Amino acid sequence: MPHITFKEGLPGIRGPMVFSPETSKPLGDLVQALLAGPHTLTPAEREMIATYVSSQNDCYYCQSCHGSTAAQHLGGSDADYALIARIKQNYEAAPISAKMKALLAIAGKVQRGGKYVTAADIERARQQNATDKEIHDTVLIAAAFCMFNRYVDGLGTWQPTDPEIYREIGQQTSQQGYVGRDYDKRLKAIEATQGKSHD
Amino acid sequence: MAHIRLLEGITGILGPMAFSPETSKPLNALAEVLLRGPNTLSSADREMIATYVSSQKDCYFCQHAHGAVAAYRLVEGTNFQNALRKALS
Repeated sequence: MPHITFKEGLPGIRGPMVFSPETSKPLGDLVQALLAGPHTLTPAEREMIATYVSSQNDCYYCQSCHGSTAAQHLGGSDADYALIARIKQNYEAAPISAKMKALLAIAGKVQRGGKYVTAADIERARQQNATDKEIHDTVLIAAAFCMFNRYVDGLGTWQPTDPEIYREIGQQTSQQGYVGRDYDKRLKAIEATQGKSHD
Repeated sequence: MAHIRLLEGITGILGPMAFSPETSKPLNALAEVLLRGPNTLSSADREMIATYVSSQKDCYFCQHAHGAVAAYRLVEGTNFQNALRKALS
């Protein structure tokens, strides 16, 4: 049960986002700029970084949502979902680019603590032609998801385990992005259809 | 030395903030709401939370920047502050 009172039926970060619109606006703008804005890394690649960090932080909701969004950006097949699972388990052995492996290594260091990032980690990424912007954004995605993960778990949010819920979230997010989504309106529509609130 | 090329002479988070305006805008907006926006906790109290977490994370820049703001907010509006203003005017 959540540590404070949220509207029922809103999974994960959506409970606190609806609870606090004044903070959800800049949080939404931040994640939109990081994961969905114009970039030399694909949305799938940036979602992989968010997913890996969330997995290292053991945040079930965030790794499931962003893992599903990454898989949907790749096409949404079972193989795409299997790739995301392999990245979480051992990205060094996963069939992704050497550049992505170097960026995930940096993200993993940031997850442990910013000071763990070494000049050698940066050099490895540069060897794979990672730009300053890509390194900057990798560090900020990793840092931001440490914040999002702690926000979601620190408030004890409801995190359903049905994979279909995350498949749907991944489909919607990969198509619509993160800004201007009215989670409260969607909840009311569900309640109207079902005649009652979720538990 | 910073891991990426940032403008010289700009401290802490201000370097990456200047490097990446598209992310610094929502980050600043978030900090503004959390630490300075209308709230039942005073700005000093909220800066103390930011300072304590930064200290626990051993982030030198953040704990000093927010610690200084918290200290300023604590004396702001007090008689001490007014007395100081009067003395300096």
